[in-house]
Amino acid sequence: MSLQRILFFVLFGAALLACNDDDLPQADGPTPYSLIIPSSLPGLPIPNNNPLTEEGVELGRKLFYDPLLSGNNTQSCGNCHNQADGFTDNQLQYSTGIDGISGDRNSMPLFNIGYANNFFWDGGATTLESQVVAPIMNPIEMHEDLANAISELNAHPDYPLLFNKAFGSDSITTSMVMKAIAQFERTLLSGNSKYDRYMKGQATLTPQEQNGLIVFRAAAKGDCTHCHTLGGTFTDFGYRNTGLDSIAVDSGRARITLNPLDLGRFKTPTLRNIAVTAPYMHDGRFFSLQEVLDHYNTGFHYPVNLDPNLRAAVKGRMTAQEMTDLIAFLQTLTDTDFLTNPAYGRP
Amino acid sequence: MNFRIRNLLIIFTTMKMFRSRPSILLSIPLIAFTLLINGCKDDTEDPLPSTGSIKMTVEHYTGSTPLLLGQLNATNAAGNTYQVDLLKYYLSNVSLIRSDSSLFNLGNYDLIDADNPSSQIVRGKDIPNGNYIGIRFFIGVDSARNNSIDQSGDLDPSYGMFWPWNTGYIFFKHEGFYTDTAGNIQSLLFHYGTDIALATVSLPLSLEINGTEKSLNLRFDLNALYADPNIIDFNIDNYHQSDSGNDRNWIEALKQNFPQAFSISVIR
Repeated sequence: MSLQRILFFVLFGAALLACNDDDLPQADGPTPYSLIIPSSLPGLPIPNNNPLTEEGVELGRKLFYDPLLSGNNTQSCGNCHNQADGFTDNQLQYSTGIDGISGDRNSMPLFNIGYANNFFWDGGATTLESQVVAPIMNPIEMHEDLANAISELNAHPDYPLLFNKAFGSDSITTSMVMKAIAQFERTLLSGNSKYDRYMKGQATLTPQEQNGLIVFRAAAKGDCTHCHTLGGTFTDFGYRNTGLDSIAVDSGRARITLNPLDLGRFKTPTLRNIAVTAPYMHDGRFFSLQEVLDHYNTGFHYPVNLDPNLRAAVKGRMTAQEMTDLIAFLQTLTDTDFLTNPAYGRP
Repeated sequence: MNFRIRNLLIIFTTMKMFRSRPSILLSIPLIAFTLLINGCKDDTEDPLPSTGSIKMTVEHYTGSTPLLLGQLNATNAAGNTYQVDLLKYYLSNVSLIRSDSSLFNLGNYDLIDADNPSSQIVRGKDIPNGNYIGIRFFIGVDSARNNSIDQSGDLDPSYGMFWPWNTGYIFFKHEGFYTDTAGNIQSLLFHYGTDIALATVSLPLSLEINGTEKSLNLRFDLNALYADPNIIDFNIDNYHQSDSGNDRNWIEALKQNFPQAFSISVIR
């Protein structure tokens, strides 16, 4: 190789490397998190600006269970989102915040939440990350001043290092807190219920459960699949008025869209783990699945914006036995592995 | 990236100039020198002052009176006596308008707080020299940023301007009191926002940017906000959180009023 050629390559390299710090691989950056998605669930969308990392997920888990994020350091996210109850609040109708004030909506399950595009019963939050700060700030929930939480985290003996490992900076910002908790929440995947194993040929449904599945699907009976799509997430993530009241008490989706047609419309919840997430409906008014089915069978009202499928439904279309069978089927959607997986519990 | 391409071009050219072997050795210090002075040069820097900057100071008024927080001394067009205890809002995407209607956007997101003088200064730099005939800005935050998860600077959600139930920012807050028709002092709470509420303000301006800093005064008259063209009567509208269909008319009214509430002047 001629001297000229060698020189050329040396200088070529030098020219490319000049000012190249920004492109150098981050040798000690966070480790990508390898998310295992149950085969019964679809691929999970992950936002480009918040990839899952081992450090981020673990930090998010620590924050999720840390009461430091509440105004008087007594409540964490985990207080009202208990793993054994499918990350809902201990069979309570309403949760009570740090000031002893209770809300007017039922604590929502958090598993498979990465599949949703909007969060809360009314879909007010449009990203999982921005959802995170709402319960922290809400005066009737954790009632914390965000700026105060951030300064507490920055002064903490452990957190600056953990944030540095996850996000490359030990100067903690609100955005990092939002991202870390959202990362942890995206890992909460539930897809190994008896029904899922039945679908894979690894379990058998009892005759009663099988009959319940038939009722679930039958248009003239349960007619559940319009909203609670069978398999996968068991929800279409839509918003509907299901006739709980003739005039909506809670404005629901209209609070966000400011559209009167959305009055009393709420998000379709998932049916996975439904047997452990009582009470039911946005306001937790029904304490048993039987009460829920009674509502859909005979109890619903006819508000102007009642969901069309319900408006067309005949009252009294299910027999008592069919509802009993349907409940037996809904109980096959409980995923005990998920509810007891130590990876999702308090660290 | 450009400086790398430029470095390569310089090296290619230098190598061509010195084809013979001895001159290659000669070229080494030349090329090294080139890399030294050019290697880390920022292309956006220009020795000639082809850009200037602005410093815009926001002043708050109720009519012709400078705003005094905590005083029940203002009177709006509807005849309500009122008081401001808290006045905060986002002033964003300040853009200077050229005579051909094209814009130079500062891309700023400033949270203005009537109680904090340092927040009342909006700065813009690297503005190309030339004549500008107007200024345009938003009261609020554009939809893309309103729904983003990468909030920083004044858009950090910890400044009390992030809804607790909704992704996005409260664009404008006025909290205080007013005297109702019966003479009782009542509380007033206006939290204005959601994507439909983004208000655009465009004002004529005669401004020459010539490499130096120009100072502008932006005057915000709250009385005009509650008067022109839609009169807001606090007896009817005294509590709005932009979370109900009943808030729509109020949002629409304020959105139309915002452009009339501002006026601008060049100091020097």
